[in-house]
This record gives sequence, structure tokens and C-alpha cells, in this order.
Amino acid sequence: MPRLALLLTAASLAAEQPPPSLEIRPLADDPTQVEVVAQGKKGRLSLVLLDEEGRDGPSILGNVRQRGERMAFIPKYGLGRGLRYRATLLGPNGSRDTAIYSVPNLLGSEPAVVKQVYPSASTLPANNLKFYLHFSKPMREGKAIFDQIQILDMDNGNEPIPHPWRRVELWSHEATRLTLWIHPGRIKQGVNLREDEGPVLHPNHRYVLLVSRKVRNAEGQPLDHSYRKEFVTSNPDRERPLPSKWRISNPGAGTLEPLRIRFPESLDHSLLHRMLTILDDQAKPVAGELLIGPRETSWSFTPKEPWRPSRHVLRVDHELEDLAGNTPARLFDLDLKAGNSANPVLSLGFSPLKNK
Amino acid sequence: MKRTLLHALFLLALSAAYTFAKPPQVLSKTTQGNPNLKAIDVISFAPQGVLLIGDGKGAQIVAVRTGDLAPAKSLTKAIPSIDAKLAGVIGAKADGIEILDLAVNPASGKAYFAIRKQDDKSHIILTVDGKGKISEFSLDKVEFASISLAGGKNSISRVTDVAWADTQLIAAGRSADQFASKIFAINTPLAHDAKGNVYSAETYHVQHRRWETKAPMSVLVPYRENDRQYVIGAFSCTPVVKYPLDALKADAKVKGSSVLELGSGNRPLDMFIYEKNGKPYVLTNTFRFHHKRKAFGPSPYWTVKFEQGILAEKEKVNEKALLRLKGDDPATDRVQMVEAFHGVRQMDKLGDDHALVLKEEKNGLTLTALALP
Repeated sequence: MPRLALLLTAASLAAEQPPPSLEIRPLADDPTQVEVVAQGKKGRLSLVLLDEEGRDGPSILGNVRQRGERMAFIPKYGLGRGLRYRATLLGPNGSRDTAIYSVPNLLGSEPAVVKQVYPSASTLPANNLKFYLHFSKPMREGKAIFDQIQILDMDNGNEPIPHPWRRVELWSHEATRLTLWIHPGRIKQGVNLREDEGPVLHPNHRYVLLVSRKVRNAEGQPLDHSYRKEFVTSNPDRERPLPSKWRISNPGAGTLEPLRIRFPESLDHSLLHRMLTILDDQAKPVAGELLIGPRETSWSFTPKEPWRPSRHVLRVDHELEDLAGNTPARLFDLDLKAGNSANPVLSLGFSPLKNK
Repeated sequence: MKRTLLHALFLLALSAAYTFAKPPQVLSKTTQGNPNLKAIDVISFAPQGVLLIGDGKGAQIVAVRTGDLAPAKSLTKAIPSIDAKLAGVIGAKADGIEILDLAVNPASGKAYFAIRKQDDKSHIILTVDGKGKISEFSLDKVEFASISLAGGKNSISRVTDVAWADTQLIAAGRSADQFASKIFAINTPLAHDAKGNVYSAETYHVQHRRWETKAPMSVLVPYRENDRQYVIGAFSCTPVVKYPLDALKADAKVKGSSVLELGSGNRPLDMFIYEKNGKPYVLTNTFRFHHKRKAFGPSPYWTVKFEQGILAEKEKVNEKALLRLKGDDPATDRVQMVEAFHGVRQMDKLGDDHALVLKEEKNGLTLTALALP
């Protein structure tokens, strides 16, 4: 038979074939969003997840809609990548039709990586309180992550420190940043946990913060590669970060030169974004962009409009923390027997220089 | 005359009895629709079937009228692999969800689960009735009141607990970047979008009468003692603490008193008060993070009951607080480990005699009702 005739025969057969009585079809381009469509207006439509042995799970939540001579079941929540589902239509006469649908795995999607860890310094106080882990993608939340990130003691055969973390998940809104707290009970002086277990970090040791590849992104993919941050520890920091010790370099009036501030120690990366404010001579916040310098020991601010040749104030929030959780207002561990400390200076004045 | 007087007295008594029995008003101003939660961290119940949802990312507490008021038969048969079953109804495998919290509606006995679908991060409330039927409590169109915890410079990114305390709603919130935690007291009845009736205070702890540190609270349980309302709960590093609720004033500094040390290396997870043979107790399940090194039982999740009277201790607090253990041996019979509750990850009170628990088993988690010890 000529090839054209064969094609025509196949096409006419297809045209004659009735549409499938039951099918699961993706909506638009996303294979996790589907509808189950059945011919006819009667019967009971359901969709279930199949386990590895092909056994039915419970009926999936969703809504049934009538569309002319068809019924459609739309699951309320998206299906899972790499999973198999079975739709069933139980007819009023006892008939049973089924259809299988496999959601393809996500192909070509870049796995997540750890982009940056703060504090970025390679020397940290032995009472360092937290790490911020910045990921390149939204991550999978859940307590499993506390077992997938370790601190290894390089001076003790790379032994992992047991249970260093406070197991309370603190993610940014998009789940791209995790705040990992070293258990405060092992930092606070006089607390039973520290007295029984000792601190997590000891001074003058070398450690590795190790983020395992097992950490998964929201889609369930593991990290592209594990992440290591090596650091050494100095003595515990038990001093307040006092703004009176900061150095300010004045910008030129009428310019867009950045205001630069140098700190004698590393400060908290996240809090530096929201706890320093510049006010103009009318006590109004000055708009501009801030930049945090290497090791979080400096901060600069570039105004949107040129500096006016008048007095400005850098206002410091009294809850700005250093790496050990000390603030200008109080130490992380306040010694009640030591008496009250002097109130910190929280406003630093500066006047952009004319003819700089 | 005498009869009229008696009649009047009877009416007065009836009216007083009615006033006394009048249930507290939970919601005063509500709105309809979808609360558009950013996340669910914790759930619990106020009276009259009002579901309280702590949404840290949205910096809010949302109180939803469920309408679930009909007392129903409690769960009589354990449901094995409940994690897989809960996941299954939303088309996911057990490892594709996280069970965030469990709460029992005291008005109906129905179990409510807060679930996060891990791939798209949707937050869902599922219910399990006495017959084991799983349904969704849809938030698409509900009557609710949203109470903002935002305001001020202290951003809250997680609500660690929320609890109803008659005249106030209390919630504990935590920041993702500051070593700070806030306790919020919200006047009741709850009014949607109400401003000005939310007070926050920061909690502190003093060790050895010398070291004072900020101390985040992770569990909150209201409790009354000598007509004064207290909150008991847990600091992350020092187990059972209490402080008076009337100390929660705007921007106050609240110092909690530690009344019981369960042993270091443990973190209380859920806690409630119950009565057994006319005597009040507190039950709390805890996570032992030193389980591998020194186990208290077959699972890192273990449960303890202690006499409520321990909370009333005035002198033996903080460093003098009652210790559960002396070395490896029990130091007191007022605090007892409950072996039948080994492996309980989450729990809530179910009626007067039971706890509904999520318990670790070989094939996942089992939902079952356990008799209160």
C-alpha cells in the first residue's frame, strides 16, 4: 500500500476512535497540575498516589466539575515530581476504568548551592552565636536539616561536635536563608547544659562548618556539592560593641561619596542591614544604598541625593549584635554583680565636608 | 410578699448561675474570606471551636471559627502510618510533607494537623475524626480575625506557641536574626485588625543569681494559682519555667522562674495540665538531643509527668529548682517518666482521660489515643 494511503487510513481510524473514557492530562506546561477527565456525566471519579508496589493511597482531595458531557476532577494541590498516580472512574453500572499518570522528574533544573555563609571572617569568637546560610534557591524546610549540617573539630581528628544547634528552624520568607543558632544553653554561663556538656566551641581551635550535600532544595534535589567553611576561634567576646569606638570617614558635601564606618570587630551581617539609620538635619531618614564590607567590619552608605552640607546623625539601634550576641546596651551574659554599665552612645554626628 | 421575694431570689440565682456559666466570648469582630497565611508554625484551640494559627512569616495570629462544635466519638483505633495517609490525601509521599503541629479541638474531639507540603510550601489544615477519616479544613472561605504581631523594629519570623488564657491570648514569637524573643499578650475577645491591644515583653532568665540572659520561650501553657494567672512553659535551655501573666505589660522585661530541671540535653515540645484521681499533673513530651550518647528510653522522644504543685514552689526555684535526676537515678517521685509515651513526637489533650499522640513506630508515625498516666 502506498505510504500516503497508509497515513490516511491511520488518520481516519484515529478520527473514528472514541475519545478515551478516562484520562489524566496536564494543565498548561506544568506536569504537576493536572485534571482527570471522564466521558459521561455519571460515576465516581477519584485519583490516588501509587506506592512503589503499585498499591493505592487514599483518595486525593479535589473538586469535580461537570463540563457538558464530561466530568473533570481537579486535585486541589499539585502532584509530586517523580510520582505515579491512578485515576479511577466507577460507573453507575459497576464498570471500572482506570488511567495511570507519571509526573516526570524535573530535568535541567540547577541544583542549589550554598552561596555565602556569615559571619564571613575566618576567625570567630569561641562564643559565636549563629551562622547565616544563604542558598541559591528556595530550600526544603524541616528539622532534618539540623542533622545535615555539622561542626567538625579539626584539632580532634575532624570529630563532629555532638548536637551543636538549637533545633528551631528560622528561615527567611523565601526559604533561601537559614539562621543556625549554636545552642545558647551551651554558650550561656551558669546554665546546666553548658555546665554538663561544655561549650560547643573552644578558644584557639580549628573547626569546619560542613553543609552536607543531603540538604535539599524545595523540589527535593540535593545540593550540587557540599560546602565547607573553615575557621579558627579566638577567646570569647564578652564586650559590648560600642559605637563610640567606631571610625567614621566623612563624605564630601554635594557629592554621592559613600559614608564609611569601620568597626573594631565583626558585627552581625543581617542586623547591619536594618539597625543603622542616617538622619538629616530635619531628623528625616536619608535614602540610599548600604554596603557591608569584608568580614562585616565596615559599613558604607551611598545617598540617593548628594549630601547636604549640614549636620547628619548615624543612629544605632541598641539591639545591634556582634558575633556573640552582645549589643551596645547589654552583654549576652549580663553579670548582675558587675553593676550597671554606662549607657552607650547611640547617635554619631557627622557633617559632610565642604570643598573636600 | 414572701412568695414574691422568694421568686425574685430564685430569678436572681438563676441569672447569676447563667452569668457564671456563660462561656467566654472568643471573637468580637471578624471578617470573611481567606486569611492568606504566609505560613503555619503552630496551631491550638480557644473555646467554642476557634482554631488559633500562629503565622510567623506573616507576623500574625489568625483565629478561625471552625464551626466544629458537635462532640464526636474520639479516636478508638490507632491509625498506623498516619504521616503517609495525611500526605496521600494531598498527593504526596510521607517525606513530601512536614507535620508542623497537632491540636485537638476540645469542642468536638477532632484532631487538627497543620501540614506543610514540602515542594510548593503550601500550608494545609487536615482533620482526622474518631473514625479515622481524613478531611481538609479549608481556609479558602472562613470567618476569622487576624491579629498582627508586627510593629516596632523587632521582626518576628516564627511563632513558637500560641495559647488561650481566658482574658488574654498569649503567643511567643522569635526573630530570625536577633537573639530575642517576644511574648505577646492580646486582650480578648479577639477583634480582627484590632490595634492597640497587643502587648509584647521580652523574657529573661537568671542563672546562679548572677548571669542574666535573654531566654526565648518555646512552649506556653496558661495556668491559674491562687486566683493569679501564670504561664508555664520552657526556655530553650532550661526546661520548666513560670511567670505571672500580669507581668506581661508593654515592653516589660519578664523574668521567669525555673521550677523544675528535667535534665540537661532535653527540650520540652508539648505540655498540658490534666487531672487524675482528683490531683492535677502536667504532662510534657520532650526531645532528647543527647539520646545517642545517653538514652532515656528507646527513642529520643520521651515523656514525663509531674505534680502541678511543683509549679507553686516559691523558694526552690532557679538554681535550687527541683531536679528530676540525681546522677542517673530519680531524685524525686513527684516527677515520673511515662514509658507508655516513649516515642511521642506530638500530643494534645483528648478529653479528660486521654492524650492524642503522634508516636514513632517502625513504619512511620501512628496516631493513637493513650490513657493519661
